[in-house]
Amino acid sequence: MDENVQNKDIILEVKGLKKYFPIEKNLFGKTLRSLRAVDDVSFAVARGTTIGVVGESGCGKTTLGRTILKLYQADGGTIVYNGEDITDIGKKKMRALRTSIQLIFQDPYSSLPPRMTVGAIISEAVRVHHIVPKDEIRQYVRDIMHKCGLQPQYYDRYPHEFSGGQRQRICIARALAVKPDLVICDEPVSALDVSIQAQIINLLKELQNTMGLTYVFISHDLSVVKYITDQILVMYLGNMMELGETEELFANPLHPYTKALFSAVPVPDPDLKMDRIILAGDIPSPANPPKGCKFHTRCRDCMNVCRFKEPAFVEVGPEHKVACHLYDQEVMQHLEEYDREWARMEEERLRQEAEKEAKRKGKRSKTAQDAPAAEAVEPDEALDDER
Amino acid sequence: MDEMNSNNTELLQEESAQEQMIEETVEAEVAQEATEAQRSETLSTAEAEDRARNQETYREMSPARLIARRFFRSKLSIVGLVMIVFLFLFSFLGPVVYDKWGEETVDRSEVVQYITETYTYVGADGEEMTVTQVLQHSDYNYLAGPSAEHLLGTDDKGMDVFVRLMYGGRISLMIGFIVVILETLIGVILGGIAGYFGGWVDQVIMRVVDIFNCIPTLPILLIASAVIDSWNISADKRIYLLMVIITLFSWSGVARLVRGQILGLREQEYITATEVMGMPTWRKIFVHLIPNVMPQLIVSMTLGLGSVILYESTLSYLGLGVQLPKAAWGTMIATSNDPTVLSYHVNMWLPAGIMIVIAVLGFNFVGDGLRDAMDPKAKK
Amino acid sequence: MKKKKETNYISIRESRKIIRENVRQMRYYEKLKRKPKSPAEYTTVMHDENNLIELDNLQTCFFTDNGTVMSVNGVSFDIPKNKIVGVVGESGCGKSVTSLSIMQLVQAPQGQVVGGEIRYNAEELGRDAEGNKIAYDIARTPTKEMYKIRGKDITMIFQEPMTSLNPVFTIGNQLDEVSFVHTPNIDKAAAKAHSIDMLKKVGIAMPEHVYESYPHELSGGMRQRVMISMALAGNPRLIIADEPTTALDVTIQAQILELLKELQKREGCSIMLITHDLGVIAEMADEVVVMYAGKVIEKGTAREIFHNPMHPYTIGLQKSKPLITSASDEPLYSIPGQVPNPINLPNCCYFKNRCNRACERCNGQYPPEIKVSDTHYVSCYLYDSED
Repeated sequence: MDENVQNKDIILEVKGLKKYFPIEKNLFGKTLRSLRAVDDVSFAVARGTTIGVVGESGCGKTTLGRTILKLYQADGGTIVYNGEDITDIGKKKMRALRTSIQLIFQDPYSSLPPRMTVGAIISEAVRVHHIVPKDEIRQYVRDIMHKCGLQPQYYDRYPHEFSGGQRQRICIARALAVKPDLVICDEPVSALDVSIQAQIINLLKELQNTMGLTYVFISHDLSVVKYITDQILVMYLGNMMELGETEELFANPLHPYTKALFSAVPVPDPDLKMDRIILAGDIPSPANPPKGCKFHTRCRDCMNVCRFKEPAFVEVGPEHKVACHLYDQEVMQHLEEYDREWARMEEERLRQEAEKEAKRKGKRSKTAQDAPAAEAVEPDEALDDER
Repeated sequence: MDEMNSNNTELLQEESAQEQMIEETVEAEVAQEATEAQRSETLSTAEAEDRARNQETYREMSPARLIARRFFRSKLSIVGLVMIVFLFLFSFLGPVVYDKWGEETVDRSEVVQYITETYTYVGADGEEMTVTQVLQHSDYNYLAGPSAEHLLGTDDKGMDVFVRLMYGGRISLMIGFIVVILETLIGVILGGIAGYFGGWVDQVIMRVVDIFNCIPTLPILLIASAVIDSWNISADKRIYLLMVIITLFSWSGVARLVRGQILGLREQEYITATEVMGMPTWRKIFVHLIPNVMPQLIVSMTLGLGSVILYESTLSYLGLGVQLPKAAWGTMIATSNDPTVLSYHVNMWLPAGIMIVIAVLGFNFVGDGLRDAMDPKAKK
Repeated sequence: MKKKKETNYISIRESRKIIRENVRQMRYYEKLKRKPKSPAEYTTVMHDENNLIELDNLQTCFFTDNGTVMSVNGVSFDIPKNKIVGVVGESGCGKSVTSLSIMQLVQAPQGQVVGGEIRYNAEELGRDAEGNKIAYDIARTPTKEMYKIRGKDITMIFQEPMTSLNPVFTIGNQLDEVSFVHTPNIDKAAAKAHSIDMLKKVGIAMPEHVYESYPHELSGGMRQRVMISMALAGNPRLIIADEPTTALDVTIQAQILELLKELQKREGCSIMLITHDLGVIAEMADEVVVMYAGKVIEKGTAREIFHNPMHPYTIGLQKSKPLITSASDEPLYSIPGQVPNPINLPNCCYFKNRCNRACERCNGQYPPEIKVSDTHYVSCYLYDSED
């Protein structure tokens, strides 16, 4: 019974969502190599709450948002919206659903059509989808504009006459005019000035309270995310690193990446010198991610097991999950075994490299003796690939 | 009495009720003031904007003015505009004002020329014989030099060159406009579809464009003109046919331009927004995409006008386009095929050449000016 | 008719007037620049020898078709030797134009330095008869002289590491070029050695490899490192860093900031750090200048600005940014309204329309700079002693 109530409350549930972009295709259009923009992401959002998706560039947070919106077709997993599986829904059905999931963009400059008036921009979708009767549209749009802090006399003006903050208000008004339940905010404030950011965040929060909206709030700005969200999903190179309630996550970050991310945020207080964790190196290319745990190349607590075994997403507390071997009891108990396995793999790799070197030298000197040795290497390589 | 009393009490009650109401409103006002005092720390956005608007000092140029300003900044585009305006007045208003001669009227006013030659023969008998030969050369005024009667003289058929220049302009401009509008229509529809849908639709349309681009135009036109000749159709109808042919060979450029622009625009976030809003496809293409290609289209149409006029003249020169007795600049230049005309009657073909130069240069200057003016990335 | 009233465009006559005036002004200033000058005309004396740069009532404006934009409107502050000065403000407040004025890179003929002094304490100039340190006045220095300063003594790091490197040359090519320009008679091998040395200095692990690569092969953080190494190549005395980390991820930003700080200490140069992020300023700067609509509204040491902010704008700016360390559910403080457009601003406090403590006096003249302590100045009537 309890579970049932909870299920009813969930507006969006994403299970094992995958989105791969092909990088290389062979002649017949078969994908040879792909970029795993979103790889096995799962979360659930309750109605009226906000989930924050946090991560650096290339972590797939934007792709995640657009896959939920069905702008991209998911390559795996399911998206359940309001109890309905919309992963493979037809185009016609999706158009009916379109109005209930909306998107707010990062760039308020490129997201408004330059040749339409503010009123036309906001009312267009209302008109197309018959949200309100025709003769009430003008009043309805004015109401929405008022709610979003726009003067009614802006109705006949063009977007280019407005500053970034007001443009973002227009974007919000456009999204809310179709009466959505779920709004995906893709970095809605990062292109704005600090003093305007606060206005927009307050507006979003106020609208959530009055209209009962649910937000998926994508951002790289942790302080904003902390302020507006109820739970946070930390992503890195397409993988989930940590998921938890906002308070819990900030009070007790577990994943080394989350810790580093939190400590890297500059604090506006010259006397507060935090114990900063500065991550070495760059974010690896998402087209060519590291093996094992994707974060291990920059991790301070990197163990041997991280280099070849992908961490499982383990639950460490109520509503707090983390993908790190450090918190996986099973892995930690058998650490020695994994160390040995790593040593073995390392040995094998070194041997292979030596053999390859020998092969190369052999080819250069063209001695017939090396030929069988080269053949013998191949099965080993295949084995390695399988792993 | 009772009634009175009851009335009085009612009145009293009413009064007291009113008083109460007043008190209530006062209280409410006080409460409001209190909350406002509390809120005074944070100023409401609308209030601040009201304040700002009351003394808004900043105003900017309207987009149309901005384009006009950028356009008129360049001297060349002004020159181009003057050229085009002159051309229009000359060809469309000119014949109305200067209606001394018609397009196809031959000047027969010229007095017949009599050439008298006297030959003297000495006969076998020694007798001298005088023969006077009178030759009536012509009854129409052909190949005349410039004069007050014929401002630019007449051509070999005795038709006024100046007037024919005006009528030729009419035909050139008309063909230019119709062809450009036709090719733009075809180009926008096909290019728009190719750019928006992509995939195999794009592949098919763009390959057709490629095919049209690699057809050697001139040989095909020569063949076509031979065929048309055999059909024996009137000069008027020939002009329409000419338009169709030129359109057929020039829409591919527009299609390619529109497709490229739409591919770029599709990445813009406001197009994604229409997708998110669940707009129908036709709306996305024709309400959101095409209007944003308009600036580039206007530029390409202007530049296209110049090249179509050139095209038409070339064809007419080769005898494939507008045919006599209709006037066209190309056919007028074609008279210079005759070496005597080329060297002794410059007034017959040079003005037409100058008109073509003016037309093509004018449209190119204006097109370039428009391109600079409408480019949103232009700095100034 | 109603529509006409609501639109806010310049009439044709006004526009013509503006354009005519602009042409006149631009011609005047261009002529002034081209006039040959004797050294006496463009040198002056420093007010304080310990300063590297002294900005004194600097005025830079842009003659645009919409009117004259006073981007920098009487800015005065000092950049002391061996210090990091942070300039903070929202977009359009003139912080970047200030830095471009110092570099003499304001885009002419639309942009012109129309008043004030930029005193640069050049070592090679020596002292005058009274023992005062002679300095260049960059606002008047001819371009030819400026070549000696720009890129060598004063260098700049830009915001976009993606676009500030030429994509068709290798990193090595571009670094060597800097050496060739600043050190005449240097041979190729020496230049290469110097370049690789520079790359090492900015913490690039494989300098030889990076030397050979093209910009597109490097990540954003690496490119920004290369830009920094380029800026360091001429042993500069002042590095102007214009939003050096805005385009970077948080973890990379932490790296770059750390690097800048370390380099500043090691090389003994000054840094003028321009940013909109108060956190970055607090972390890096010794002294802070807060700008708003082309004016300095408050300046002081980092401690003074962050612990004892006085101008309502500075206070609002700090309050409107949610902190990662604080927990609160109250609505975020936000400064209402928009940043004013810097055309034809009236001579009164530019912030008064957005200020919650505006009083009657604020409608008067622009407030003078009021001294709070030896280092702390604020332009606000609230602190005027007459009150």
